[in-house]
Amino acid sequence: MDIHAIFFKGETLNILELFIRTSILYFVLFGSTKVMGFRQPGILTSYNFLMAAGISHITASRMVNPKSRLVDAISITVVYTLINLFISYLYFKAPSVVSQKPIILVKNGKLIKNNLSKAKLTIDNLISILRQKDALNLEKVEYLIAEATGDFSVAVNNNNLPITKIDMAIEPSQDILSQILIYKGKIDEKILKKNRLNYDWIEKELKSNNIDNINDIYLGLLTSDKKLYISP
Amino acid sequence: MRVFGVIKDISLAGYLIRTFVVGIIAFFVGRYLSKRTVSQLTAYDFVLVWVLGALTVAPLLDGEISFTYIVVPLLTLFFWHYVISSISLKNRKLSLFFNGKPIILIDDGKIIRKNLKKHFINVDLLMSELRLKNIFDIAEVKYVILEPNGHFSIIKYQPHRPVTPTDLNLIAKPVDLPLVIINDGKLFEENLIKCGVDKEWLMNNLAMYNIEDITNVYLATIDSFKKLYISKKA
Repeated sequence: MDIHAIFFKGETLNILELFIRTSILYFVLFGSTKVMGFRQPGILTSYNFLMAAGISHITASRMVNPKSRLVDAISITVVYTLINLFISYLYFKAPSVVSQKPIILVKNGKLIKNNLSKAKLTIDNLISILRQKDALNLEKVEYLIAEATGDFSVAVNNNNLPITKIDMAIEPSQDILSQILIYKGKIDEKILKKNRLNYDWIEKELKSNNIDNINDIYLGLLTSDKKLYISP
Repeated sequence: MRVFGVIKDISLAGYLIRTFVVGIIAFFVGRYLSKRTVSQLTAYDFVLVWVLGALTVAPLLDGEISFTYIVVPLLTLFFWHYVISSISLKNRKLSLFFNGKPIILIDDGKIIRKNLKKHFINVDLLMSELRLKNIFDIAEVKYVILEPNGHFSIIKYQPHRPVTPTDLNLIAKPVDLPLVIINDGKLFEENLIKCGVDKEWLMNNLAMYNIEDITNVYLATIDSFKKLYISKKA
């Protein structure tokens, strides 16, 4: 095995050296996605999609191409990541420069023809989008907006939405975010403190569930009404 | 004719045979990956899928890329992926490191600016994600959480949530997964037995739909109240 060869020569590598070369690139890529991770698949704009495809292709073809050197691959990935970071920073700092504006397609049940062609949508596209968003009736759509992420948001007339508790004047009860409090017998102290609970409270909850040893608990969830849900 | 190994001038037939081999490899790569659905992928998985795709087809780009040069990297990636997945299952802290943590963006109605900044999410993007979840008034929102797979979980304040049967002290029908008893004219007797009915009962009921022969039924399901759903072959 020749460490120099792994970094500077691509054509003469044996299987072990190839394994090491790929492993190094794998962790470089891992680090790069870790740094860029803020823009994740769920919030991909077309630009992010392009970047993800690009960086994957760079590393992939560098992994396999016998003519390419590892040093090149690492440097390219790092610089590419930095560029992406910089642009994402711009998205946050100066959104007016880089990010696209949402386009309003339907307003108060009326089509805005100009914007429809701006978003490059045919009328059939539009009807299909409405169907997918459960808005079957165009006249009941207050707003249809083409978002910068490539998805669409629909606001239907409030009279056509499910009744909410406020409409019925129903008193709200206690309501917090459900969290993992106990995992494999270990208590998460941070969550305990944040919710102003203590060990006595846990002990009381355990007793009411007939559990003597906390180590018997695989998962203890703090539910939204501040009770302990236990799964042994 | 040479197909495998490093070839300077590969013939068209050589490429076609390679395509065939790549197709088979791609099938197995996909098989390995399909354990997690695409929408559950974290940023890191997402890139990995792209890399695997690009790796697999590499012998088709250039005759000089031999199959050794793709099989070794493929196995290496699988190896590390396997190692990281098993570590993640064993240790929760490392799992959070590898797969990412959920990040709270709005906590009890308050926007956590620090977290927005850290993840380069501007207000436009936040509002647009809320709109995508049918929320046009940010004041209705109690919690927003950015999940590791990049999706936003949004929890509204209670008064803005739909009324449920509990609010009205009603008792709703329990959740029921109907069983398939006939699929494309074929009867599944074990599902009949599970519901405590027999074939005779079924035939009697089918007669009410003017069906004499099971083979005329495309799909039939039964729920725990022995209610049938029947769709005939057209």
